[in-house]
Amino acid sequence: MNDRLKPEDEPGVAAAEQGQVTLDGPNGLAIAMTPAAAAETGRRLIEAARLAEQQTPPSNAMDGHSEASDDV
Amino acid sequence: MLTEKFLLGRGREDLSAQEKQILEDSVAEVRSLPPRHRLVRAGQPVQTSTLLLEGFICRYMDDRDGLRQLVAVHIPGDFVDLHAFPMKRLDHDVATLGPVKVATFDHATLKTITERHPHLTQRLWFSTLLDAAMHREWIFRMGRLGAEGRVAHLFCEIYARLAMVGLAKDGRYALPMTQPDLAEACGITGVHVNRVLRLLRERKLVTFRANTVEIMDPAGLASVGEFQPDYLYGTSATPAGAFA
Repeated sequence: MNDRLKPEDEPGVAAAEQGQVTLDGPNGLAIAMTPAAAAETGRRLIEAARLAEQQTPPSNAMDGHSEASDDV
Repeated sequence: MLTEKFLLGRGREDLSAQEKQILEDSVAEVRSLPPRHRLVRAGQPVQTSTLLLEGFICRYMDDRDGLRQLVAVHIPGDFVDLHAFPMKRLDHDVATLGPVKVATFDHATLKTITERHPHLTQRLWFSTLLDAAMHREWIFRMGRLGAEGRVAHLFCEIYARLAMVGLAKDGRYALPMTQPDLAEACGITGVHVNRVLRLLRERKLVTFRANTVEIMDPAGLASVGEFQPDYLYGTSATPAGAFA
């Protein structure tokens, strides 16, 4: 189960549809935004990605399930 | 027989002739209701439960802005609000989608059944547990699947359920839902639904036109929707296995 909690490494699929921006997947993501909201979200994502690249990824012990032994 | 679809495809044959007759004789009233008619309002005291005979009913919840989430879709044979028998109120609204015919059961009569007929009571309990199983699956669908998967899963589920009660075959069935209804059931916008329907059609998986669903590729659609019918607890004779 812990593997499922890892951040997704496949990008979502963005599309323009009838004046809305849809963003699909992965991992259950399915939203639609106005063009302005989508553009601002895109800018914020790029900025967050830039910051995240400078950070240290968490160890496995940080995923909140390290003590579980149920092997689910 | 009014109640002939109750548990059809899910072990109705386990009911004795006497139990089937008891259920039939327990119907207090048969009503025809128009589309988009609210049967039960959340929080209101409820003294009857409803068996859906014909048509489609949904359960839904509105957020504080009035935006709606469909939390269940019911088909003929479903006991829509049997939960209200022990709970005496519902935490959500219940409304028709298209025109429906329903049979109502007074809670006093259901109480008599629980006191005198333990096996029939167990089967009624089973039917509410089916609802719980479907709710779990709907949580999975909303939490884990993308837009295409959610719509694909919903189409697969409704097909499998309708096939169990003899109302769908060869991948085709009538569904009195609009694209906004699908959006409310799948947690996406109507525009998003429109895009997904086009993608699914272009991939020759399913079409949804004029309130008719036609599944061209059951296995492919089930794969997109990660649909496995086990949670519907159908008997092996039911055609839900078409998705396996």
